[in-house]
Amino acid sequence: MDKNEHIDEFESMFKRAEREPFVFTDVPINSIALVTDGTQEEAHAELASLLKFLPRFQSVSTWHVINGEDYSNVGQLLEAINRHPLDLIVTYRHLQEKSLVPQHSLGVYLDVLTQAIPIPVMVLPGTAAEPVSIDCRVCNRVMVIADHISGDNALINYGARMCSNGGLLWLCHIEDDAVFERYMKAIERIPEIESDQARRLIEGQLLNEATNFIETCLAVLRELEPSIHYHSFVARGHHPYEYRALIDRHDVDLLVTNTKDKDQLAMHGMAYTLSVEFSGVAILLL
Amino acid sequence: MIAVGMLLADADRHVPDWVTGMFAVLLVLMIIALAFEEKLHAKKSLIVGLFAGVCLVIATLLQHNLLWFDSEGHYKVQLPNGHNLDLPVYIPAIEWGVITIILGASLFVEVTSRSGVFTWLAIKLTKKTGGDPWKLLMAYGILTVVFSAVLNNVTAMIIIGSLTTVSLTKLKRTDLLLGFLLVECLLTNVGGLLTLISSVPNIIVGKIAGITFVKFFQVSAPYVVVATAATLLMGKWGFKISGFQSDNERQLAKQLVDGFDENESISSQRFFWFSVVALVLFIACLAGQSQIPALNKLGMGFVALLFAGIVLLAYKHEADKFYSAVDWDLLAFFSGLFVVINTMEHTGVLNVIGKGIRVLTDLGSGWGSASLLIASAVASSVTDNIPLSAMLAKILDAEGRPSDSPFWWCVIFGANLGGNITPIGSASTVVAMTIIHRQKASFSFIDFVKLAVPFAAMEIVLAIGYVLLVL
Repeated sequence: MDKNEHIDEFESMFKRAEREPFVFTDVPINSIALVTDGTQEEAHAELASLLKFLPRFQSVSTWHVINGEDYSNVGQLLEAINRHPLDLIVTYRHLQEKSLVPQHSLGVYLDVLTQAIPIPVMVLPGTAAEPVSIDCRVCNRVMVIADHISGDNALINYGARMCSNGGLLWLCHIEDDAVFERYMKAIERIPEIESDQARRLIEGQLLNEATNFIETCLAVLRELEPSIHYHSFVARGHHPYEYRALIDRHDVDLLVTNTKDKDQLAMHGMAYTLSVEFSGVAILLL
Repeated sequence: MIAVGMLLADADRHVPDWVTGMFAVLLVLMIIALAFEEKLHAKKSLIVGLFAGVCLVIATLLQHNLLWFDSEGHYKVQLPNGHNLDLPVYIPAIEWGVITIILGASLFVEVTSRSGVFTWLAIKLTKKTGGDPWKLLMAYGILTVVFSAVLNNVTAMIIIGSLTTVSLTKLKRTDLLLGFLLVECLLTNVGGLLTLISSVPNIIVGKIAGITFVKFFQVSAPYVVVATAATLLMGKWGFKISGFQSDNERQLAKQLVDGFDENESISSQRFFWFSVVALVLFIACLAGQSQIPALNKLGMGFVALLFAGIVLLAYKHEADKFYSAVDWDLLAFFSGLFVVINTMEHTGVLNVIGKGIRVLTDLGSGWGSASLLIASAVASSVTDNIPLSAMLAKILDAEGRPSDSPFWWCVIFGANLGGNITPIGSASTVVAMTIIHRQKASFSFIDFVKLAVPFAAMEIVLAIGYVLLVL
């Protein structure tokens, strides 16, 4: 082993000993805009349902209801939103698309809201035309889902903020099989790297990082938010399949996921897929 | 065996001046080749092995029976029971005591370091400092000295240098990286003075001089403590390394260093504690070796090999992995070097160098010691300190110097501390340069010399004072 390899070996050992810290923040949600495409009365009825679904929103001091009469194009909606300082937007898929049969998209308005505005967006189940009722549900089962959970304090803090007292919070990390296999194929073509060992070590390291971070988070959350019950899930797999299995298995009320990647203007692929495919579940897009 | 003693005695035999001159040229060529090892893209062992082969062939071909073959052209070694053993001439030339200590100790260190004990200690101490730069420098400095003493300079520098890079990056204080690495690499050579097995010159000189492990530690420890403290203070002042200025800074740094998990590199608690116990026993056995029955006859090399064997039992199914991690280049280098030195002895070259050294030692214990120490340090700064210490030790031995002579210590201090003057002066300074360059920092040979010379000069002056006033 030469000097460089030896130095690299020890640097790796010390880097592996580094733990990503979790910083708990009680996310401030004081001002929320509810965006609908119905009448003002319908919007207020939806607000009442929302408060039952998310009991933690009862402490919100300011609600801004933007109904279908307040806007007729994207520009007007953005203007209405930008009029107030907001912590969260709550809305539906396919706003103002009653005459269409929406498929495989979020609708023009939600597309813009998730990309052009830095405020988190909560998408209620169903579409604006055919909403899935949340009247009989309480947000007791929240699932935070990511393919890179380590260090993502905001995602976990939002998850904890949304979960009702006595509810369940899942912290899930699914390492993307497709990406992993692509790199493995490249490694298998490099004679200097032993393929089986690389596969085992890289997979182990990726999953360990997520497991360690989740353990750190759980230790903090159990102390600061003791009324919530916590679970975790870390695995490698096919994204949509694994996510669907998790959501179905645990009858999730709210999914919390990241929407924006650094240096990426459009909503990232997996968040888009989740938002379109899992239209029966409420999703918080950060 | 009496052959080695017989060989040493042949300085009295007449060897023509031209033969001595020719071998002296070969020795100089070998030293130059070693100095340009990197440029030649050749390993030390190969360079020295080649010269050893050439020296043996020439010495055998010459008509003067320089290697003391018998009338039948054999080389016989007489055993105490009267039997003659027919050995290749180059086998008794090798100092097997030195080779076994290095082989056993490096195997032992390789296995115990897998237990995570050294990385655990390094991370634990990092957390204790709370990320305070000055406390961190002191902790890493002391660890460097301890690791250099217990392990070897290169491994100590690699462990502490790697941790320094990772922790200062985490603390967002990479501006201090150069100062930290420089102080640490200078301290590896100070720590390398602490025990008889801490560095190769110590092993060679200590073995030849007959200095025991305990005696070595008693003499060197006070100097190491003073030189370490002085180097750290000079580093603090020279590189403007200070403590925290505000509570906010302190809290943030503490949070960051607390993020390290010292248990990460411990794969098995059982093996961890087994390694700790083995390490303590190893040092205890080396310290008491001259008093322990059987070990006092079998020597330190046996102790090192014995402990290497004991810890290898924990990895008995993959012992071959550890064998391959041994620095065979270094061991082959030593073997070749001892053969070259032995040939130089037969051909009168060491005798000539000894006369030159005698000019220094004849200056008396004061000036003589100071001159020998400085000469050893300067020579070590530009060439390998191992051939230098081996040659000087042989010369002092041939002069019949007692083991308490301060001249042995001049060679030990000079050979170790000289490595701090230039980046090629010792293996640990080479490692430090490699770590600095890995961080994409531009830091040249001259830059190193400019920063390191004041430290090295201070350490050498302290050593001269120590030899003159204490020894």
